[in-house]
Amino acid sequence: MTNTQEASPLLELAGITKVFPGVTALDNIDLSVGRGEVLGLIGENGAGKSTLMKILGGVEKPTSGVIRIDGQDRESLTVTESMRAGIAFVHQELNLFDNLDVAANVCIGREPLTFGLVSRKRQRERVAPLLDRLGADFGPDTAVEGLSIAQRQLVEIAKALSIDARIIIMDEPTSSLTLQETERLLKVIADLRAQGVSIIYISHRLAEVKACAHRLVCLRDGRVVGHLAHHEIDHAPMIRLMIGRDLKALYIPPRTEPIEGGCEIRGVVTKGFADARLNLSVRHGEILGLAGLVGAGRTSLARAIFGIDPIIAGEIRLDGMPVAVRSPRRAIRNGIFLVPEDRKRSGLILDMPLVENITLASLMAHARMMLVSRASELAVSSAQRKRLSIKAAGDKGKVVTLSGGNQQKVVLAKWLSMRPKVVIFDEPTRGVDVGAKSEIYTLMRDLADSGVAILMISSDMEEVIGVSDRIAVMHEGAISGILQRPQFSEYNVLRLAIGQELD
Amino acid sequence: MTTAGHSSDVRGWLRGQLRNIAPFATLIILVGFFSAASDSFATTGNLQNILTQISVTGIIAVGLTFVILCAEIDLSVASIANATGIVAAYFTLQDPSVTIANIPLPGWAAILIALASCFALGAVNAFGLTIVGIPSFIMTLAMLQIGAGICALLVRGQIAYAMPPLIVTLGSKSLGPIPWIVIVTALFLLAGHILLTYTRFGRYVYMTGGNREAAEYSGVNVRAILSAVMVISAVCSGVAGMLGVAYFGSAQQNEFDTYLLDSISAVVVGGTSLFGGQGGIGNTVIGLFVLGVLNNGLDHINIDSFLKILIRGLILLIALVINVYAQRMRAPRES
Repeated sequence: MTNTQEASPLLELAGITKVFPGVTALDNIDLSVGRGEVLGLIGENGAGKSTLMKILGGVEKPTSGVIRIDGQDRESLTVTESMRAGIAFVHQELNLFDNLDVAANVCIGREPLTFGLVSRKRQRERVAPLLDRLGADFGPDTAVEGLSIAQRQLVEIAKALSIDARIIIMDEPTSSLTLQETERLLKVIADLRAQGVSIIYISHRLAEVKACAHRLVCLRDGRVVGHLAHHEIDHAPMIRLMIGRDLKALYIPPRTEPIEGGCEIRGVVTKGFADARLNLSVRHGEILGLAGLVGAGRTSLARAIFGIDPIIAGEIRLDGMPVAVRSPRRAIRNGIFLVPEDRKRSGLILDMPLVENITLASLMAHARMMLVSRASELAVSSAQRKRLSIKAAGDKGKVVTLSGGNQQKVVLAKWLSMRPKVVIFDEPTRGVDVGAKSEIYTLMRDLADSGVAILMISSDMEEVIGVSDRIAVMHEGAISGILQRPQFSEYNVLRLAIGQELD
Repeated sequence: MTTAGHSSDVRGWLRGQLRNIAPFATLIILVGFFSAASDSFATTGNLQNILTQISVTGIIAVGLTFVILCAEIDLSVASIANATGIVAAYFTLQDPSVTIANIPLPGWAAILIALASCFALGAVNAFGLTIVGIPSFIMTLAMLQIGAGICALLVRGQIAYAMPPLIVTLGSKSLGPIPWIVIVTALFLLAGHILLTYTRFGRYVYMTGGNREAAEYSGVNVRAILSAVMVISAVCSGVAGMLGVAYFGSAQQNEFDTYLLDSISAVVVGGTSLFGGQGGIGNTVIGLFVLGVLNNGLDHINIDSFLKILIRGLILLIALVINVYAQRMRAPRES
């Protein structure tokens, strides 16, 4: 690693701070990348990695701080400036056009023209050497539709090289790759490095970071909390850097013992993870935390239990009886409710009043001879509004005007006004401020104490450990372990989440 | 709260109500303008004219309001209206001078067959949209052609005149000073309003249009709702078609062609959102009056009839601009 030119970093960030209303996403970040250097960037979900990358991509402007490229200071970048400076991205979700061939994808927006017409020939000639350089096993004419994810990634990298990228930012590039594909990608990275291209490598997979990075930076809560030089990169210090917080007294212990029965998941195979059979049970009166990294299959499981995606094999039992959840409607009829991850997209009808959002799923109970009784609806709505202390002007205001926490409470109110048996919370406090957070935790605990079985998906480590009575951890579609309370630690959860055994 | 905060509340409310206020203001301006410009416009006789003129469009627009509230579209309304009217005529005894190979049946039977036809066409639309998954724009475009085909096959370029007696009464007779067709339209609008505002079904229509995914995750059977609105739209069109034939006094091909654009215009000019979930029958009523007053008023001021077409187009354009802005100007979010 001697070719790293620490003396004149290619890219330097000094004191980058980004404040969103109510949240400081990035707090005084200092970071530098040298020519031909691979910088590993780690941190838990929500540590600020994405915001930092958005700033480098020119999508977000920093609130303060300096971006220094080739020694030239800038306050912010635009998307075009970022591209001109040679910054390119290879995203977790690939941004390719399935309907075009490889060459067209690489040249998108910069098609070579002959007399004003796109010259496919020159396009191919431009792309072929790039693919050779990456050792791709497909040609520029191949349709992207038929490529594997690993091959698509190479197309993305070729695209980056075609704009003479000097810094390629790879965001979880291996999350969908097989072992061999990962190894090949690491080889490509080594080649790029030798050619003088710098790489910022974001990954949860510690082994890969160790394999390819010269140096590692860890973000936590929007701050740089530590650096590791290549020889220091190891699992234990990396996990220590990623954790390292005190649990606050936000959490309430259970007042009742869980009762047998509840929701049992028996040999369930979900869409997207064909070779993992899941066995899990959530008892009445307990909160089962479901931890794991993004893409570990937690949301797939939730969607299967709630009947959004079909269950490919296995069955779901409720109090010992198999239940057919072929649609959310069936799930709701069986008392299985979902508080979805993206409440604006799938939980609320933003342009509708509070009351109508709350009674949406239980309109049957408010119908008198076909007509909906407004009085009965308003009674339930205002009772729920008071019970959950939803801060809203009344029951008739549109939900779009409420804050994130209050919107989440409206979703909860919808289900609490019915008789829940099992409630699945998918990231219940994402985008919710601390005050509302503790109210939501209290509600969840009250629900559990009243005998409801709760499955809580969360990427917030603190939340998983603080709120859960047991924690199931998922890794690549399978359950990699279940932790009992005495075993709870961020270290243990993380080890299981990256697919390792407990110590 | 400070005065500034209060006035911004009012402004926020006004912005939120833009889609309701703008059409109403348009209507008042149009009525004011035509009343000033023509002595013959603001008379009870002319009010009756306007009401009668918007009736066929009105019945079609009731069904279309349901469809547009779900963020879908039905381009086959006029075609289904035409086909249903012709089916009713086909099963009614025609004058010997009409050389259509028709099958005379009792009036009630002809009406039932006609209703069954429009129901079936709507069901095909629903099937294509919800089971096959064809976008409603394309599905109903095909149905537009199918309806035209049915019309062509049944009348073969001829014109039929006779309709079942009940239809003749409702389409062309009056109850005292009020034409029956106006009464039927009012009843359809009222029924549509009650269905949309006070029943579970109506609520689900708004929810499906407002956020399909959230509605589904709350247990709403979105496919059933979409199917129902397509059938409602087709049946409303069918009724409008039968009454329209009686009102015009003849059944022939292509006689409803202008009603497709008129009914869509009425719903959208009234302020119902093309993006779904916002608006309602109240908006459609205003939209109908805006179009009715405009069409009727332009006749009263003796305007070039070719210019009339352009003016209608411009009014529709303005309504669409307002529709899109109203969507954007939802009440601003509190931080």
